[in-house]
Amino acid sequence: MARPIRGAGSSQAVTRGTAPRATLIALGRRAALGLFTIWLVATVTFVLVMAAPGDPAALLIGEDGDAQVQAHAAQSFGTDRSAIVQYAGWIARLARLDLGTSISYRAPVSAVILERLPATIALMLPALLLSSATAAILGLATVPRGESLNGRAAILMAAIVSAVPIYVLGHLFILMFSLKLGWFPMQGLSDPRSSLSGLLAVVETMRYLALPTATLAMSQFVVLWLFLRARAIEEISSSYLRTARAKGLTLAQTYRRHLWPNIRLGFLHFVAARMGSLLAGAVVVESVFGIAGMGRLVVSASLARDVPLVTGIFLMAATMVVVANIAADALTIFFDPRLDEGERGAL
Amino acid sequence: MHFRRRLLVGSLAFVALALICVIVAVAATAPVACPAGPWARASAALQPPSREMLAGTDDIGRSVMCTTLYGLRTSLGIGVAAGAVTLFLGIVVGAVAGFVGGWSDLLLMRVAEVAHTIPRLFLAILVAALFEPRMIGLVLVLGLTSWGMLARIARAEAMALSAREFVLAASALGLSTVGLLLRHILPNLYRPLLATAGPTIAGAIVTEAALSYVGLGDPDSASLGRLIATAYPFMESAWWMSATPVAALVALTLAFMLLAEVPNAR
Repeated sequence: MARPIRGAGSSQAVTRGTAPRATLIALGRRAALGLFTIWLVATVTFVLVMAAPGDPAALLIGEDGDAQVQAHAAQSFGTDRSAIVQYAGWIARLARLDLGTSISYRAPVSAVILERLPATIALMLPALLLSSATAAILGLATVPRGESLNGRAAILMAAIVSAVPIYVLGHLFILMFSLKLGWFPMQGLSDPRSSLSGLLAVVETMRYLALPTATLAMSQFVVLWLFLRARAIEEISSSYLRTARAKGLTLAQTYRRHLWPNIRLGFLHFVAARMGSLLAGAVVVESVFGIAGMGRLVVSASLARDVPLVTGIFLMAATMVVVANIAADALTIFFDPRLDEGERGAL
Repeated sequence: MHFRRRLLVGSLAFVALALICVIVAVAATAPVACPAGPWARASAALQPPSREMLAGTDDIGRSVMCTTLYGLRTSLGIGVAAGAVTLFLGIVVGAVAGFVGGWSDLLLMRVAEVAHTIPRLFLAILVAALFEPRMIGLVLVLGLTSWGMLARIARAEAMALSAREFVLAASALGLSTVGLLLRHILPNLYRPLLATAGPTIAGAIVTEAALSYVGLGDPDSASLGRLIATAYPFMESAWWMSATPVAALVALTLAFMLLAEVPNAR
């Protein structure tokens, strides 16, 4: 316990050896809890669908459909059986990753989602990396030496920026960089008339993605930066940082080698916990920039009352949130130098 | 330094409260300023701001000021209603989990975690697909998914309170668990309540506006999000169509976010 937390140095000890049993058990527990959460979310979804007026079968073929056709649809949906049987059947199908058939696309929900997923990931992943990297670098670069008036002003500025809705941010970017300056296209992911291929096509796609990514990243950045800043201020008066300064390290070295290793796991958890907000941001950004991803799909499916598709995307989004949290936990278990020491003591 | 800090924190909280009072007062004038309701055509389409039409008119000749005023009322209503559900659930669940402990604690905190995990906007979109997109559904979705954070803070506070002398004394005097909760624990949880009220309401307002922006809001009520969406194609030719609703939404969100500074000001 008397040993100072060293951060980067000691974390390598774990990754080099085989994972200790305690680590595996902890990971298994997290995964089981995650599955339990997804099951609860699925159950809530089922209750909602049951409580909704009208049955999905009627939605498929319309109110004035042929009685025989309706009966057939009811059978294929399972709506003529008791709720318990339907529930069991539905959960069993979910377990096989069968999300049902989309009403408006007349195709398996999973296939429809998978077709739209790449565009959403191409938008979310760069935005996630960009916002967390910028927040981390700027957050460490602007740690104040204590509470200051400037700090309060910074918080006020950040609050003003984060009060601007993400779609207004998108509108402003379009107004400035597409309409006025003409640097970036304002809609979609590609020009249907373009005949570019290979590397040029990739560059072209990146040009299309630049503004949506910047919009999404900007909306996440402020919150991440404020979090990191608050954590850094909490840490700043710790004795280990004073010791590091006293032994002759520069401020930048102190932050990089001692402060950052101690706050990065908390930051990682915070980023993971904001997965839901990132997904919600993607829904809006895809609408603003006309990107055919999962977000626009869920909106159009909801407008079309395509219940199986909306349900599928909702469950998919919930799963992504759960997986992000488990991933953060897993990384913590592997990289937290403090856990490492505790486990070595236990073994 | 300490004094200056207090002064500024105090002033931020003051600004937030003042801003909210102004917005509520302005929103309250809607029936007087626009007796014909938000949808009435007032003059020619796309008129810039003038002495008669303070904020100009939109693409079908409605007063932007009137639509914004009614949009503000919707935002305030949804924020306060969803906020009330959230705060009630969060405080009660947190107090019971933290004070009673044991199995109820384990169970309630697991439920809190699940509620916190559910992607709110997606659930709202699902509910809009299943039922008609109505305000009540949105209030329930927002209220039932946002209380996890407050419950966690309230639980920690309730745990700390349960070891305090005045609670032990009341317990020794024979007050029941329910009596202790009502008389001594819940009234002392005002701090987490004050700290989370503002951001919770701001979150509800932002989500309602985003839903309306993508076209899944309640079609019967005016909404700032929908106003901003319809104004977007006219961004260059009629800036005033966007300006007023955007300013109203930003001011409203900002005011409730800064409200979180109130407990620091005491």
